[in-house]
Amino acid sequence: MTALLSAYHPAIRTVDRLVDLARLGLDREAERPFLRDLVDRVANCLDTPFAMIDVLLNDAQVFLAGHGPVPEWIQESGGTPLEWAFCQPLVTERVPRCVADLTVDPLFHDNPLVTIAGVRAYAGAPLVSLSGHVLGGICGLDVKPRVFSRAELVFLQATAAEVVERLEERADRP
Amino acid sequence: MTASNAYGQDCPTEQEALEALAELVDRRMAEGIWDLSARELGLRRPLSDPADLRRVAEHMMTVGDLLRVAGRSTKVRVITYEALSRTVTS
Repeated sequence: MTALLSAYHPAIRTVDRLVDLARLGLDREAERPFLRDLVDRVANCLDTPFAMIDVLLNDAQVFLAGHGPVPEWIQESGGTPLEWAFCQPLVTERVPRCVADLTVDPLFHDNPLVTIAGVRAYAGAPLVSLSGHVLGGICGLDVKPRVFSRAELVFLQATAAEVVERLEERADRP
Repeated sequence: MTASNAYGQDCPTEQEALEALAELVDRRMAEGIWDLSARELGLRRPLSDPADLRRVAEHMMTVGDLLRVAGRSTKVRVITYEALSRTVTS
């Protein structure tokens, strides 16, 4: 796994960020049907076979909702090791990003989701909590290389805000 | 004599807090968590100031959140490994 990604880990593992996602209960294993229409919308608007909402824990990513034929092993684990998460850069960059061809991307070319599972293109936007922490991302994934437009990234950012709004509404806070 | 407020509530004590925790996890773990929390905050036991008890309580709440997050992380990594070990045949 590329060493470049480890540069994001200190920010991902910040105690305040992890406490914030715990405040929202995002580490809990739970069905979140209230997010389903949002991943469906992303897949439709971006025309990608997969769309996911993921949260970055200290050492793994967990999926809150997904669109597309999710592999059985992901259904079983509910996530992947952190180092496989395409949304890692969002924690420090805090703006939408896309990769047209992951096989030649310096960060993700050797990611097993690329080399084995066949993911080829990614577009994602950060989920920024009310406290200002990047919790994870919402993304569209394709199995063929492709370019994403600026309008698609703007759409993803707006949808990310809607995701956070729904998560915050359900937060267990005083 | 135990301090109490205008409603007749006695000032919470370290012993009470420990007893309450020991009812949920075993006593040795309760003692360990409490003692480590106090040490990490630079507090010398026994604690008698309510402000110190509150600091330990808040510290335990934060550690509890982090334990949950770290536990889920490890669980995801282990299940991923197990599931992929079953499905990859080469």
